[in-house]
Amino acid sequence: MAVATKTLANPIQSIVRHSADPSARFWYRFLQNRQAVLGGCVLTLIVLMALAAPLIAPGDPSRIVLGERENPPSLDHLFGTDRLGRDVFGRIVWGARVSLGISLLAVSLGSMIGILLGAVAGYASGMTDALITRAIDVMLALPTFFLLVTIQSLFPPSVMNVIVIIGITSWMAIARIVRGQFLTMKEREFVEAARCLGVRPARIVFRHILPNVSSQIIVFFTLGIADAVLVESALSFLGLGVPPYQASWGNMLNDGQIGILSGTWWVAFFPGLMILLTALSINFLGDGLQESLFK
Amino acid sequence: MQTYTIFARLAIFVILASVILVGCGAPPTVAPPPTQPPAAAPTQPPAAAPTQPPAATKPPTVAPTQPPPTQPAGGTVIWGYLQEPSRLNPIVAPDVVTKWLIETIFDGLVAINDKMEIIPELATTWDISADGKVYTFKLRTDVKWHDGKPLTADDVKFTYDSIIDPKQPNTIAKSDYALVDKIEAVDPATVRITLKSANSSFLSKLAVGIAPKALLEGQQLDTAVFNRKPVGTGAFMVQEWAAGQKVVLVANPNYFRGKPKIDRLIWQVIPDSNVLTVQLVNGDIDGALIIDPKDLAKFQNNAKYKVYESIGANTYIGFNNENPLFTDPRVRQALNYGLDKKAIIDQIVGGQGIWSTSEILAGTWAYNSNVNKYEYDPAKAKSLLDAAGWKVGASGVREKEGKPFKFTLLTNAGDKLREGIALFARQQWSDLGVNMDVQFLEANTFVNDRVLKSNFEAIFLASSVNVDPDFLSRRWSCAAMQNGNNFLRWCSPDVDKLLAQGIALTAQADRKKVYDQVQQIITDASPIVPIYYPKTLWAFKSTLKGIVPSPINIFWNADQWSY
Amino acid sequence: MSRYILGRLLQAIPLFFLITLIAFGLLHLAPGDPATLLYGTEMTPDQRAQIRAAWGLDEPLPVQYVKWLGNLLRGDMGRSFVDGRPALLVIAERIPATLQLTLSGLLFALVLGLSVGIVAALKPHSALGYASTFFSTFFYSLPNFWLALLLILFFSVWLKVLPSAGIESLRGETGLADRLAHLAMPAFVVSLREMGRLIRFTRASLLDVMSQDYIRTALGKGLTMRVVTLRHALRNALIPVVTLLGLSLPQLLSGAIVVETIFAWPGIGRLVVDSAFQRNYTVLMGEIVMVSLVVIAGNLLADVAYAVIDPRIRYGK
Repeated sequence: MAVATKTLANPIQSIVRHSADPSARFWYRFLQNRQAVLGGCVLTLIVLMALAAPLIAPGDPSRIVLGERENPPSLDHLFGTDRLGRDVFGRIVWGARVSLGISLLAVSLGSMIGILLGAVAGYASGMTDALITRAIDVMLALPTFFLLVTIQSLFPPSVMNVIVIIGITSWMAIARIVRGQFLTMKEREFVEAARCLGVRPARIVFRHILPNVSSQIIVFFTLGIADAVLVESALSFLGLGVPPYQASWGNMLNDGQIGILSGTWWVAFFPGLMILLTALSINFLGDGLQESLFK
Repeated sequence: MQTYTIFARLAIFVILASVILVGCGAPPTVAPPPTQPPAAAPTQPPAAAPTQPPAATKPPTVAPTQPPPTQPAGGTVIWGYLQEPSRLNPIVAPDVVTKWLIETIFDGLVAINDKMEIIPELATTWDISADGKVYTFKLRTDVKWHDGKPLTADDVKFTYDSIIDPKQPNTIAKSDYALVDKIEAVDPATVRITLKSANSSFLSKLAVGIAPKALLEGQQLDTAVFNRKPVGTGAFMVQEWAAGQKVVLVANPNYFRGKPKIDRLIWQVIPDSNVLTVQLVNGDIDGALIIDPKDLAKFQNNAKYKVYESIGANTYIGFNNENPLFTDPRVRQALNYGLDKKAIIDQIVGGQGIWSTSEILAGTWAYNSNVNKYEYDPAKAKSLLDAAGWKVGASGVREKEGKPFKFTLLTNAGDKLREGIALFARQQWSDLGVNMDVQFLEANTFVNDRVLKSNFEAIFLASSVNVDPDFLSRRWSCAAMQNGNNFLRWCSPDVDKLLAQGIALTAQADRKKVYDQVQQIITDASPIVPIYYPKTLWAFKSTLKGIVPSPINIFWNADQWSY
Repeated sequence: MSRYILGRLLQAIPLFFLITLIAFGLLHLAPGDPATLLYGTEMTPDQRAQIRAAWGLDEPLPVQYVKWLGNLLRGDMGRSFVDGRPALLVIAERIPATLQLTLSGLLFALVLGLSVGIVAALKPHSALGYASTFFSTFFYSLPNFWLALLLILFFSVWLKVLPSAGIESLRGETGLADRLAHLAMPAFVVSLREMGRLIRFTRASLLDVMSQDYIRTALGKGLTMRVVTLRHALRNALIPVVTLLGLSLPQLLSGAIVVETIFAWPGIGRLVVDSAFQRNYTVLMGEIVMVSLVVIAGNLLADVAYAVIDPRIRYGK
């Protein structure tokens, strides 16, 4: 890729680099990207932390202990306590489950919708394509804010609402990508061959074309999770996110924002840091995937 | 179509952007030259206070006009708040925030002072007929509108007629004036209001600002251009209103109480409460509400600021008293005993609250301090629940006839204190074996769809600050279940009888006895769990003098403020 | 060509109406109404009924929509329920502030983003190269309101060099310097995401172009790297960047909601937030009309641009 050619010092490297096995090639390139590897490791740690919540932070993270309000970080409370005496560390660990879970589910929802619609639009073309493209345009033009307000006021506020909101406002990008890919792939010989063989269109879409688009989807999915974590925090900041008694990084940030300017910085600092770390590592990972999958 | 065109387009884009940036700046406002602080500040002659708190019938003595200020006046007061006013027209401004500012631009027949007493304003004296139905007001003759025209009784008549007019929809509470039979402008300085029946709370409803008939007659008031460029009789006049940003008021040199000592009052909009505090700390604004008690520490022991406090409305957990869970008063009392209000006030609210037992504000004349305070007594709460048939089941949750004691508390999202208290209550009551879920709803949905439609099991909200105790009939009378605000669905014929007596009697001491009884009955029945009256706190720069906090409006005497 | 444009225009019109229809439905689906936050819990049932009747809110939704549409086609967006002024005015007066913010942010993102991206592409293994890729992702991953509050803490509370909120000073001198000082932090926060995206995109695009054969040819011909970059590589690398910018144009108007709230910036973003909570239907619908017009126009321009560039598109299908 660089203009100057690189001399290969290591023959093993050259073997792996040009090996016929795509996954070997992929891993080789991926592992060379230090940032991506670091991102992957950090992310794994965070996910492990979330899964191990009952072990690392036993007890009820939402237990209000008025006597211990707003203690700075100490040995008892690694990240201090918030204004109701709840342990910030415990809430971060349990909140990881909520924030990561929401992001994962929301992006899954968005991807499923987007892939389905994009594939159908790209493959079917004609009226169906036109309709779906119009739907994408409509969703893109609708300012999402009062969609948020509408959904949050119609249904009792909950984690599910947040997942649905993020899901249905984020499917458009992947739909466009998938549609574009399908438009080009449709004309390829292997698809024509499948058609001649009489394979049903649905099967062609899902068994034949879609796997070729999978790299794009994986990258999009990964980067989407980082976006979703940020969106969840913004929603909670505006008061439209996860309800207060269930810790999530977003609503912890909301809780603690007054602390930033009034001296109890730890209540908002740590959740913000976690969001940053998570989004950063996911983005590095996604970038690394993108580079390694497409060369 | 190569590099040239692309770069040309980028360049045009950048130039366009810069032009918009620089060009779209509003012309720099000509800031007034910084005023010289008066070298020696001679003490101000004390503000003329009304002689005695008038009972509803006795006409008060005429308030002497302010002697003109004896020191160089001046200065700007910048007040910051989270939102801007809606319509600066007293007839169509039902929201509390707008009313704060309206007070400085308009005057009413009477005004309410910091002790929630009725004092004369545009009316010098008034006379109430023996049957209590006819109120005759004598107006001041030296009052001019901001545009120079004199105030007359026609303006008063116009104002009240417009409020009642069903063709003017968005007015302040019409039900307050439902009793008015007719209003007459007897002569340019006399107004007569005739009621359909005697009501001693009526006088307190006459603090509404008076609007000029000449400028508003015949218009649809809620869309009038006047609402943006109002003309009143008050101490300040609107100079400029930059939408979403600020409202700039200047002193009215012809104000009947004398020109205000400060030159300008600016209301600045700062939607984020953290940033509001920062602005005050940095001195960018001169005063603001302290919204979160945690910020109090910054201002309290700080020589640069002075903190003023007043009392706010009763904040309570209310039950839907028609819900089978809550029909038994013992259950409601149990929940009342089972909530540690002291912990809430001391810990969650940071000490900035006063124990509440009633909708009526502590410290006002009608407040009854001798009712049951429902001190924290979990043992008693448990025995009351047992007595009411709710026995603790296997899972720790109480049950009766197989149904668990489970309900949902609704409140509005976005208020940290409320969140904390609601979650704390949940924890406390779960210790009693009551399973309460909390839902934080968006404010508009909460009020419109749940509270006002009684579509709830329990709610957590604040009441309102009212001058006259008769507002209890809007909240608790049986009639109010249909026509009023009795969304809590509790009433009692005894209370209704007493409330009717309350408005029929005229001497304050007599009325007090009645309302004391009302509070006694209500507190014993415990249809709500009153928790606390939040202390309303303001911080102003200590160089600003003359501020007297009032539960209703901090600006009530803004014409007396000075540096 | 004009047939293509006409075709696209004709498609755009029903799209516009569809958007307004869906938006209208969604808005009114949410419980609550404009009077609620004005009156609070002290509203009596009669007064509520009166207001709703006067404001036409008790009519069936399709009727309300048709009325609104009819007025819109006559140029009347209705009046704001909160202050009674024409909705068009309420929205229009907030546009300059938002544009100032978003355009400055975009400008800043452009200048920094492009330059860092170009340098990162040309010297990928230098310290600057690695730092730029790191920071581009970093900016992209920051929760912006967290950053905004930290910036205020640092610059306004601790250092006291920058104002914490508002569009201009209320006392003392106003003027360009003052406005720029107020613009600095909000525009910076707004620019971050776009900057991050631009750095990555420019770098990727330039790297891509640099690996093309014709660049190798030019270098082989003996042209210096500098000439090659500036005259040949950049122009081609910037084409996709410009398209990317074009795609983010609609965001210029939807406003940076969070930033406007924190920095008390009187723009459209905050108007939308307030109007949503107040259920100020007319202003919200007006804002949607505006944004969808911009988006549709943007899409149209993009389609036309593509058609101009690629003849296959305008003749095909």
